Amino acid sequence: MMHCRQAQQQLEQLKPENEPDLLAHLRRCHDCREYAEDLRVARLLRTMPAPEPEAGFESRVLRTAISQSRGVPQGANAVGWKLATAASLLLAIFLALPRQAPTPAEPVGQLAGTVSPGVMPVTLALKSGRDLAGAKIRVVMPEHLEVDGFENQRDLQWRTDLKAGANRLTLPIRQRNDRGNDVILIEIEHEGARREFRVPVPGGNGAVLQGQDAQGMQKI
Amino acid sequence: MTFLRWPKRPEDRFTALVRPHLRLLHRMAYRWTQNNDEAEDLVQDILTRLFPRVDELERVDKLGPWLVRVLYRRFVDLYRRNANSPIDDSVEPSGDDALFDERLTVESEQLERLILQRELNRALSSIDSGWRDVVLLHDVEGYAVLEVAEILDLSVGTVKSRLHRARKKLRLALETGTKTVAESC
Repeated sequence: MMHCRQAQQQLEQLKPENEPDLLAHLRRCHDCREYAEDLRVARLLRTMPAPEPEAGFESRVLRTAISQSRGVPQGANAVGWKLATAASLLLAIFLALPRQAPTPAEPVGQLAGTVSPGVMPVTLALKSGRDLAGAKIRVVMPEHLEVDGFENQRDLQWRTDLKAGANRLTLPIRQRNDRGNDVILIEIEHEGARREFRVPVPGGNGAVLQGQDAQGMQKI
Repeated sequence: MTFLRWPKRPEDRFTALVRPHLRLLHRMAYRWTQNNDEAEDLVQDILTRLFPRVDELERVDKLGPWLVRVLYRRFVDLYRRNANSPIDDSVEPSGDDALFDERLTVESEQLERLILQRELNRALSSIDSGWRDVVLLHDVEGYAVLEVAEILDLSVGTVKSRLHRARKKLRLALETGTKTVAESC
């Protein structure tokens, strides 16, 4: 009959198939079953993959680090700030455009009021991890779109309180011409931390992008 | 006759010291951030801070673990304490599923192992960060308990107990995850 020590030695040998004696031992020995499970997890952990860095990584980081450290005193802080911001802002934007005729939008914030004909309400859900009092929202429209009531004004900024969870913002969008696809730039800033989202919107008449999750947009 | 040599330029001394460790630093940064770009940014960030300290680096005995320790502290400063950002205090990166999904399509012979590793990576993201750090350094990267204790600034006993608890939790998560995968098939 196989003993625990022999069983554990066999388990460590990583044979492609376990011998009948070992299997019989494992069936009746709780400790060795535990040991086998621990080994399995340890082996999986030891071979956990990690991606290779991008080509030229070593030269790039060394060159940048040395030049920043010498020539640009703010460099280190800038990178640190960028990383901290990327890690800390948990805002996601979901974009929904109507498929057919535009339906009246809920008035949200200072922008949306009564929706007039020819205006397409575009709803953005800004998901925040917590309350952000006095957050600054900046919306930069592409050339072929404009916010109803703010003609010829592509760059809109205002302050509002974002609540924890989803915050709905409906922009009454009017199309100026049939220019191609473009992006709406949304920027959220709160007490010095900032995150930028680029929301792709289709151009042309009646083009639809319903419920597109616009996460994964460029981080700053 | 004695030929006097010019002293080496600081950038050459710095490069010679840190270059052999850069891939290790990138890998560790990736394991913590679960994002390739952020891993590179994090490595570059610490290099920028370390370049003026090249004299000190030359005096370090085991530079690899020392650099990992510096990297870890910077990661904690930026991602866990978030001193600069009031918006969210403690954001832990979630497991990088994309890395596994990418490999699952091209490495079909390793399918089962990759699926289990993806589950394990998810489980790692879900456990307490203090436990995760210990597992990443000891079980994934192969550092000795003593080295882990030095890098993380913990006692050896704490490292051991965290390892024990974390493994238990990971095993449980893996069993649950495997069952879920099986059911969905």
